[in-house]
Amino acid sequence: MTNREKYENAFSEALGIEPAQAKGLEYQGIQEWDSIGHMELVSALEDAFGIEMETDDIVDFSSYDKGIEILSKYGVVI
Amino acid sequence: MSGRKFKIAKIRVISSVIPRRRILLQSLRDVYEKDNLERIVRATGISEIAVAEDGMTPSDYCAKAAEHMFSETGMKRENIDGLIYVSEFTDYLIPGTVAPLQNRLGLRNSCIVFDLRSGCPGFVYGVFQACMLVENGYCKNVLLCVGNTISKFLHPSDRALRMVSGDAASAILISACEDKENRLGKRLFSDKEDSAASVFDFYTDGSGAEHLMIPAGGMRTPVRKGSTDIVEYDEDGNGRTKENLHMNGMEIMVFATRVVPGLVEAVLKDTGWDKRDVNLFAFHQANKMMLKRIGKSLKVDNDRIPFGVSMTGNCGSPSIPLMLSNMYSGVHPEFKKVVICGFGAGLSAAAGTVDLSETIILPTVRV
Repeated sequence: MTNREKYENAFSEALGIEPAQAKGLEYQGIQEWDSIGHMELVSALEDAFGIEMETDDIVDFSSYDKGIEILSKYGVVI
Repeated sequence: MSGRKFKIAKIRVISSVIPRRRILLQSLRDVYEKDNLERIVRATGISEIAVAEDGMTPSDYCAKAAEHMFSETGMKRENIDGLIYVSEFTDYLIPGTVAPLQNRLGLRNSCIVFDLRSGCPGFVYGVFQACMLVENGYCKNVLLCVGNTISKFLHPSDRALRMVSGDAASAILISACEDKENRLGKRLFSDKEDSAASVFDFYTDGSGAEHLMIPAGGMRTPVRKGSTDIVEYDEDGNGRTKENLHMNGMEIMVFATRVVPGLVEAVLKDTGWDKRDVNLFAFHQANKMMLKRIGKSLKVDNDRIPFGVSMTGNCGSPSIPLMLSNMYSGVHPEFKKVVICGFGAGLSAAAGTVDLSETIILPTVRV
């Protein structure tokens, strides 16, 4: 499984959407990505890539694209 | 920086009550689609909410929790010499709630009584105040009453808060462990020298007050028809008027994950406890996901950070004693080293180290 597949599967698992729907999403752009969905998504990403995100990064994680940028700080290339 | 260690005051009894009335979250399909409902229940760990009956206040439930404690333990009410009432809500604007509660419970007139207005950190603040009264010799037996009926301030269109917020009350007896006069049956605190001392640490950042607030109804913004009762919707689609509780879930989550781990580490250091030796981290029962997050930051496994309000909801200030009553009724000699930590409205947090190894924890009762 590629990192992008893992990334989109995390969205799917946390928000209950299809992996293909993840691209382009923004925080609060859909009902499922609310504050609870956000924390579920962070946990899913941490589990998928074996990392622990800093609180500042959790706050800055505002979109699908921003998440890719943040993960690069942890050595994860999507 | 904490002050001196409390060595005499101990939590002796915990009694908790919840209202009979309850809402199964599955019945809230009018405000959430089925898939979303299941997602949120899975994340928060809350499937049922305890809701106060009409006309019932937090002090009504506190009185029931206290009466339950008196009847179950045989503790004599004439031996209570301190009464602290902790809640965000007051029965009257004047006087405070505690004096009528003293009268209702039949406590002696010489009791030291005061209201302590606090939300989710309220239980820890209350234990701290009770310990101070006992440690300095003013009291031998302090009754701490902690109650919340937040359901009365939730708007029907508030999906986020209706899914997690419940009502409850607890009565907690904090006594001088050296006091030999008050036997509870055959149980009496030991004078073991290794009895763990209590230390407390605190954190407040009022710049975040708006993130958990009922804006109208106080002195600053009195309730005004046609002004404070207009429904507005936030980015998540939650409807609220200024007379309802407002919560910015993300800000609360950020506050908790930023502040709580550091505060807990600080109180452990001040007490001289090793994190690995702590038997239980009894934290404010916000939701399962938040406790999991805090546990991850603290590097403590979730078995020691229990979540025990799946059938009641996050009940605010009484949530910690309620969790104990829900999950650990009886006496647990292994609870020698317990960390309590409340966090929320303010934004504020409070943490303390307590020895619950001889505490009688009564099971929660519906009243």
